[in-house]
Amino acid sequence: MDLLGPYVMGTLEPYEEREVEYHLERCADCREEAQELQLAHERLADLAYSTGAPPEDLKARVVAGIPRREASRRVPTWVAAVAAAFCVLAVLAVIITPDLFGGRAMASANLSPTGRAPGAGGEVSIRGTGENMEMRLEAWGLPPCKSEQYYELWLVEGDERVSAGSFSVGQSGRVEVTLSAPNFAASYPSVGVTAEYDKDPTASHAKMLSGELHEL
Amino acid sequence: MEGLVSGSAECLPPDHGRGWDIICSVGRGPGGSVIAGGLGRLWMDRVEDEVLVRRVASGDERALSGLYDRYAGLVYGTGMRYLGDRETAEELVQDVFTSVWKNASGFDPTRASFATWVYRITRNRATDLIRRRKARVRTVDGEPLFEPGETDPSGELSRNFDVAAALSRLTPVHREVLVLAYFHGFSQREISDRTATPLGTVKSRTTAALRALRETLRFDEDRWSADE
Repeated sequence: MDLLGPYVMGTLEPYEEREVEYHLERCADCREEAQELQLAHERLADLAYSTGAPPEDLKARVVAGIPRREASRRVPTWVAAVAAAFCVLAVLAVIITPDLFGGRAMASANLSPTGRAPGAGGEVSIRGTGENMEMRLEAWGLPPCKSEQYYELWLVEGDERVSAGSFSVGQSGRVEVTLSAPNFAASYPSVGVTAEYDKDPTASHAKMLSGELHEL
Repeated sequence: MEGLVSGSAECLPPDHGRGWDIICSVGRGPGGSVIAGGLGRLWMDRVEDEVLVRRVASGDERALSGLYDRYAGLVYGTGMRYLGDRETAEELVQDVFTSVWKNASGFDPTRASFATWVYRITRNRATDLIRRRKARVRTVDGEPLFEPGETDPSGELSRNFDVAAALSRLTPVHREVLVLAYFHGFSQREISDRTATPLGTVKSRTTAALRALRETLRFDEDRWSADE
């Protein structure tokens, strides 16, 4: 009974309404379903009635007003000195043993080209643990960036995508960059690279490379 | 990678964040596949609330933005209805989403849905604002709706959050026909024109969408009553 929805909403033409009512008089299952749809209709109507229209700029104000997670704090000088010494040791340790201190790759993807860059390819690896991770991208065969053009790397899940950073490509068509990513980066199933234009606030659909992320 | 598919989409002008300005008309690609074109906020579309709040806990502002798109209209409407003025309603929205941001890591999805959680935050913040500002309680037909210590006595506010959550979990095609009808006030024929979809399809799709919403609501009721 395809017309039951518009029927409970009261949006059918009079002749259609009569047809539905004629049918409902003879079909108990359809009467039961009409009651169910009526309930959904009333719930939605209540929601629409109770929903307001906040000012357009309120979202920006809300986001601007949230406390940042990584607030900088003043620390005593001796603490900074000790921390700096540990940082030097940590860097040395990472150089000597790259698999320690979060240097190990957590996930990787081989990037395949689209029709926009048929000769291109690349690899992405996500490394690290803790608050932030690194995304290392190596790509080749990408068209050199034109004026005000750049590329953007995305973490992708279904219809959603989150930027992992942007980069440029010169005449060589090659790029090797390390971008930072949030600690849940490896939970995304896919990555992609698009071509973007400066001063255009919306993300483009010009996909150049894409690949599935595999945990290691 | 659907969100990266090349395609065009005609987005409705934002209805100033009634919570459902995420709707864009959906184009159809070869073979009838849906092209989900549109702006970034559409890409958040199919992600569950609970996934978004987990990302909020990790510091993802886009995830907070996605939750705002789903619930800010309802929080604001609640403020306007129960607190009575625009300024206080805006303050309520800011308080609620700041609280979501600060407390996201403490949200436990095994104990309650996000909709229930954000409803409780809204109710508590609204009560605080009433107490602080000694706001006049508005009435409908002379009946008090909302008073300190007795918030949402009819359960209407709680129910609205549940319906908003259920609506956000429908497929984009189902959500589109319901949002255009209920939140933009379009007739079935206007929806047909706007989405370039035959009128008969719009009618049957509306029926299917209401059915899906009812089933989602029932699923949620069973799930949370079983957990209690």
